[in-house]
Amino acid sequence: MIFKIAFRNSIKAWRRTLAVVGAVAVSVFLLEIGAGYMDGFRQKIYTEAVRENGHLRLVAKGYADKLDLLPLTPNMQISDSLLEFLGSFPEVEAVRPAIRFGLLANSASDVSLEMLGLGISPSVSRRMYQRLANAVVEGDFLNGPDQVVIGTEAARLLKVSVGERLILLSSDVNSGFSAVEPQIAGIFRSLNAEEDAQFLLCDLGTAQRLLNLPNRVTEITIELAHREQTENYLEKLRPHLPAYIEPRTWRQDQASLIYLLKLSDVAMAVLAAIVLVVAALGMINTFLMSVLERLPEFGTLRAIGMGRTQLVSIVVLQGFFSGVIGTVIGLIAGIPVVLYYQAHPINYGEAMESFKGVDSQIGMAFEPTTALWVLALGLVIAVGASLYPAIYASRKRPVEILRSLA
Amino acid sequence: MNFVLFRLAVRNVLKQKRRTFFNVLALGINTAMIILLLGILRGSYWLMIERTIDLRTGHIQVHAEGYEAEKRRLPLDIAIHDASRLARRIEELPEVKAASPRIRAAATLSNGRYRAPVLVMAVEPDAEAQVGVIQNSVVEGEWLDSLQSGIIVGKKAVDLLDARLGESLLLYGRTSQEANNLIDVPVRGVFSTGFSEMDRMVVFVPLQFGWEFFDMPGEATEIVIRLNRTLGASKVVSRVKDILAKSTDQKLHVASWQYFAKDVVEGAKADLIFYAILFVILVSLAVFGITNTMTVSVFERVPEIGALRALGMERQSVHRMLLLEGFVLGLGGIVAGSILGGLLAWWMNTKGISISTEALEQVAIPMGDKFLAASRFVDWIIGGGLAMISALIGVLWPARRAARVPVTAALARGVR
Amino acid sequence: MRTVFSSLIILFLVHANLAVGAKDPVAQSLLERMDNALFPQTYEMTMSMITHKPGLDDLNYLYEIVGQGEDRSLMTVTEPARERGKKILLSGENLWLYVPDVSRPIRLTRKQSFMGTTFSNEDVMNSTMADDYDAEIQSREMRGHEVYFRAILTAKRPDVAYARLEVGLDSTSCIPDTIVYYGLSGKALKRLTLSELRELAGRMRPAHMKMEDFIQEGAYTEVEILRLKERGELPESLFDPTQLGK
Repeated sequence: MIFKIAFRNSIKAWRRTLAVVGAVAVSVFLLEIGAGYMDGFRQKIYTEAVRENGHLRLVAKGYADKLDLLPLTPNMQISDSLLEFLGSFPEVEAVRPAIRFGLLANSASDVSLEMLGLGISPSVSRRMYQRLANAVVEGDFLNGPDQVVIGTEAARLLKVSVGERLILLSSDVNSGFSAVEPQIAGIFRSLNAEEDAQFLLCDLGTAQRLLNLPNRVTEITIELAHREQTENYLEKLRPHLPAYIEPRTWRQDQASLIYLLKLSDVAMAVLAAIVLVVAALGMINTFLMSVLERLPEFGTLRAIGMGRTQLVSIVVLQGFFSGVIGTVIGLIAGIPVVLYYQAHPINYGEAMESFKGVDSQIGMAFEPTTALWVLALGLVIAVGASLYPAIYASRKRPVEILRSLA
Repeated sequence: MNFVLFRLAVRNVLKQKRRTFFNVLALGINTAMIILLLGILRGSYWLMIERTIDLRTGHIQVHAEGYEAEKRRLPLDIAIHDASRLARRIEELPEVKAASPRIRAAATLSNGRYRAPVLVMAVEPDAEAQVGVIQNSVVEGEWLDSLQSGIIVGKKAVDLLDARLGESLLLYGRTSQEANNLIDVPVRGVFSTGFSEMDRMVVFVPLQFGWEFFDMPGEATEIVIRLNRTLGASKVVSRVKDILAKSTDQKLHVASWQYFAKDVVEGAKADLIFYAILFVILVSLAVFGITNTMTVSVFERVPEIGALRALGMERQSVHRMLLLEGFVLGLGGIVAGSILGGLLAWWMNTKGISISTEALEQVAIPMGDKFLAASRFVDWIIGGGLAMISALIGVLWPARRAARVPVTAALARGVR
Repeated sequence: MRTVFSSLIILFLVHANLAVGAKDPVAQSLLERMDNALFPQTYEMTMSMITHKPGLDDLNYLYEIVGQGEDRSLMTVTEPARERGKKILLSGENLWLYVPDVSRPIRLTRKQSFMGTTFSNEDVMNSTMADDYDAEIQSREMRGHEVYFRAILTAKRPDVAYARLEVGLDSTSCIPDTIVYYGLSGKALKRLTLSELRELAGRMRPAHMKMEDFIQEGAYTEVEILRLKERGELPESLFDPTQLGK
């Protein structure tokens, strides 16, 4: 019965209902966009911090204890069956065998530069170093055998450009000197000065040839769908891992990383709270006003005998209807926008010269939990912001209400 | 501009207590949030900068000319002569807290069985204690003493080399003239920063030890300067240059932290875009809220406005009156927001939010564990400005609608 | 005749011992003769080098080397098979590395350290002691009929690789059998032991050399000279880096 009354009232005063629904919808829409935007930013931080280095890192036992910065031994043999096994779990996004090594790069202009190299298969490299792949200023990222990519500063120091060949000189696994001469496929611009000057990416085959490590690598990093799955995944792997392999999780490797992530979490939480307060306020305002404006109506209803509880219920229900519809509309409008920008992040680097080549993307991220929270918030506010004034109004005697409005 | 109109606007605003209350509340909270947000953004930016200055760059650095171009090979032959004296002269500047001359060199540390490549930092113990932060991360043993031989090694290196406090390790390196050198050096202290590279590769020795070991008496590869305040560091650079020019004939290169931390500065610039968009979202929410309530208000005041029109008020005046109402609301919002913002900012600037994780206990990270905001007066100006803009934009459309209210509307529902 | 000559030298040296100070002409001339005793000015040789580091497999290399004067030598790797064809050219201040299949040789200067190790062995093989060191005889003893000296060599300049050397050598042949290398702070870095005197290129020379590293216990490098021949003139093109590929 109450439902019917509430429903009819809403339809009768459709302008007001529409206004409330509209207000809620817009607030929820902006809130969802704001949240998606911040989720996107937070994800990007985590992505760069954790994903790049891999959620799980497999090295040969004893490798992590070597005093040399980039030892070549002990190393691991990789076989198709091992890689297949590692990737056979649903949470695995990528399995990335790689070789880390030190080298001297030498260009035809007779310039030599000490660099830090990573040999990795091109198909996986783009994923692992998305940040750099997005920041290529000349040429292309790794896309085939016998190739390297270097930073703009390294290219400047070496006086080379895309298409030229670069000699890589290193100490191979047998401690003899060795050299290969791959082609420069592309040049990236990294915001990190050290990386821009010293980081060299080459295809795995080139590294294996240079260092005399056929079918061998110094590490295998594994990328999972979500970092929280790491420990679980490791437990599943452990009984089947060969004895010479030692797994290390991202949590183990860097205490300082945890600190930095915590810091960004705190910052994001504060920002989220701010956006939330502003959005919530808009909605509360709407409901409060819509209820308080109907005081004369309530007065009349009470005067003709409607009970207090009944009145409150009707008001709250109406608020609830408006809230649900408004929130749902807001989400229906907002979520596709978030999804779109998740798939097509805006690249402002193209628009602004000074940011050219940098990983200058603004994207969003859709997280279902966030959307659920927004939904819950909308409903809570709808009910709460209707309830409070409704109770206030219901407490007053009808006569008082009518009189105060005269 | 009509003063009468203004008085009318004010009266209208004050008369509609409820609506005004909500609008001013909304504007005020939005303003306070923006003030808070600005303080937090500046706080996190400063945190990052201060951390970079503490750990990497110092406020100002001095090098011999030509060092920067060759810095990758850690040259010892491009050095500052008479470095300690120059450091003391620099310290005479009132803005300077301390100047630490250092030798930065590549070397090998060995326990007789294994050898580890390391970066040696030869420093003046007292000056370095005021310029750097590493002494706060010493977890075992003691910091350097210039009168005693000793080396401070990172926890990771100590573990890998199986070394113990008081025991000696072998340090091998090449002098500034490329001659070989080897010496026993006792482990005096162990530090742990949580950054595995640092804990593994960097070692500290007294500067005098470095003069002897690297055969470069009185010299330094860099002088790192800490100022009393980070703000204005680039201005102090020219004063440092002056003092150096008066004290020596050497050609020296002086630059502030922005030069050495370009990546941090660029990263901050990239972040600005992010925050700008966030602001747009916030302001949109505020504007929308105002528009909403003002539209409702206009809708309800239709008879009243009709009456005013019937009494002779022109459309334009109605329009202006509504705009002025928005302006008054804006003022109210600014006042409310400034006070509320002030309270929130005070709390975030002084108490802040603490960042504590279990991981931090094992490691003495040389940075603060509190997230503080850094508010400035300009935040209130920006917040207030945005409040006013929101209010004015918010009433634009309602004001136009109000202006279109026909005279006859007064008759439609009766004035309340 | 030899005995008289030796006795004369002993007399000179006795006098020399009384002299205080680093500049000792007799000791200096000993140095020069030592320089020449080890290798002829211009030579061609086959050398094997074994590097031993505790915990690792031994590295076994075979080289063909041609050398001219004080600062030019070309080493070609002949064993192991996978390294065959690689070359190291030392010419003045430069070191050139050549790897087959790479279009040009790679130049490293003294200041560049290739993984921090390239020049450390070269320091030692470079036998121009007389130019770099002042010699002083510290002691002598009789070994059978031969006089055996211990000489202290002090670096003449701060850029000499090892600040001090202690050389033990036979007075007649002027062949050292021990050289200990000291760093600036006075601590011993390496010890070279020379042995197995054999007739090589017309003279008795040590065919076996062992270099021990004091930074890492148990690490050493052994060099065996399998063949040594004195040469007259060597073509310039041999030490021309652009000709390394041919």
